[in-house]
Amino acid sequence: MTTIESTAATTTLVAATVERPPPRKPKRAYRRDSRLLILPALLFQIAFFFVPLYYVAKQSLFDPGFTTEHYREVFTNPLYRKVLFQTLRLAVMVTTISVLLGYPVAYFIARARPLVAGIALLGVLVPLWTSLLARTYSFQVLYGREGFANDILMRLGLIDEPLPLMFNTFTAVSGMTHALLPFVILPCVAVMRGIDPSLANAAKSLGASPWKAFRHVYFPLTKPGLVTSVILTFILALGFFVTPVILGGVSEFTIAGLIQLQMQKTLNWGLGGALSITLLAFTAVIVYLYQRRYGLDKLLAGGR
Amino acid sequence: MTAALAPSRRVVNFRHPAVALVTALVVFYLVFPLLVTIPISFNSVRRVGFPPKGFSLQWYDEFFGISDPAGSRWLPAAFLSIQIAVATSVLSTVLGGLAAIPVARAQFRGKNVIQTLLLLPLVLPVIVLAVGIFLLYIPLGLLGSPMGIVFGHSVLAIPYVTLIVAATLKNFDERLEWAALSLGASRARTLWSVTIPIVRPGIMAGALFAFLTSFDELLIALFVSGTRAVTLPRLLWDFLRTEASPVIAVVSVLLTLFSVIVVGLIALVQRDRK
Repeated sequence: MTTIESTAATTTLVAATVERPPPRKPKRAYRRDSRLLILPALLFQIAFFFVPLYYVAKQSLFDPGFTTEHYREVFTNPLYRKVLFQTLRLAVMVTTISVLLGYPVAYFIARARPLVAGIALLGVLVPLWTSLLARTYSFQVLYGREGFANDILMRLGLIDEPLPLMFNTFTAVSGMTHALLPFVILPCVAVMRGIDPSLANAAKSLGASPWKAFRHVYFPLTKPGLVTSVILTFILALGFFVTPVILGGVSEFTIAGLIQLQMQKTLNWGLGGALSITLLAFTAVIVYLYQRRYGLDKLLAGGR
Repeated sequence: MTAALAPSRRVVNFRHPAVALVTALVVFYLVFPLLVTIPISFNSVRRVGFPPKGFSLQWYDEFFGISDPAGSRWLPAAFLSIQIAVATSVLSTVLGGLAAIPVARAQFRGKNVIQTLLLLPLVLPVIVLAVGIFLLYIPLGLLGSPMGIVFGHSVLAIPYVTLIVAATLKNFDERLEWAALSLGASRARTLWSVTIPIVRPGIMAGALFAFLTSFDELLIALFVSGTRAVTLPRLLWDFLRTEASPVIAVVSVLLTLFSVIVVGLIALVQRDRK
């Protein structure tokens, strides 16, 4: 899940660079032969990324002869269908909540005085850079039976018995939202900072209400950031492992947990492979649609 | 972060107090959970619960293995994680950094496809990669080897380095290189004495990123480490699933402290860049 953390931080780093006018065209030869420098990285990724994916696909289709049995199982077994559905539902919920909460925060940060914006940004970046396992543990301490939340509620006399806050959808959504909010906030801030505020002001001076100026002028300009956030959050939520497994309480809370269970406990590698390819396919379709419209480097650079 | 911390033009008249309120609540929600583990880490009983009882350093003692004759379980794992993260950082900075040069500058047929292939590991689910690496390592005999974990982590780290270094290279005035070349420097010499020093902040950011990517990575470690190469996240995971010891709170506190230091360092590097 490290990907999550680092992607958002790339977002800030890449977004931080300022465009400069391109220099004159250099000598063609120099431009062309630098392309060989891509080879070592490419070969490495073929060996340790694409070959492994091929192994997963092979595992899912051969057992030992060719079979589609594992895929049939994934889509017909009620338990696995439930997990697939639950994963999608969680991803939709977490993405929706993160966008609804993250967008105003990004708006505030993009507009606030530098000092205030800096403090708010630190509040976003420090959790983002903190170990995901440590953060997930914090939620256990927060929501456990003897956790902070129950302690406070009992002291206030609001409840007599501790509430069962752990190991359910609420806890998982809460923890996942915590982990994914920075992926909404950072790309949106990057885009919002690039918007000329006088545009919305112009709309207002022409008689638009603040709401109309926002709705018809400002909001459309933030769309690239918004689309990027939604896609990023959604695909990260789909493949999320640590937080839903720990806070949801069972491995089969999401597809990723189910895959790990099949591979390491149940030792049904064929099924694990088929589930992996299913998850991969879902993600790949979303990434492909985004890539066609915006380009993959944009996704990681925060929509710019 | 440079741009993020830089002043922005403000429109005063469509700010709304509700926006400030939501921001305050969200930032509180993001930061507060990191703080609740602090009192637990000083708990004097073997129990994770509020309110904590008394004050003791016994869990810190357990983490560092000071009074345990068998030594610490955590320090060797932390040490291994640091070694793996350093190796990942070196490998991916070299491979990813070299690839950044053509990504930022070269024009050639199929560039878009190759670029997409290079960045793909960042957006596809890590669990699938972990399963694939596991299946690949069985015939290669790399299960349980720290080197195997380094390769897996580098898959995730290389695209970051490429992106960050390429972004820096795009802002770099290529004429400085032509000047060196026209004065008789070789291609390699130009790269070493002109290009690399100028894009150093980008390279350093990329290397730091690669380090952190590896240092906190669980899934690949979970599939590759076996019983021989137990990294810190892997050990933390085992504890989280089985025990409720306050020593986990100690690890959390130390890791959070670590991230505060890292964010501070990045802020410093970025300030130097200005």
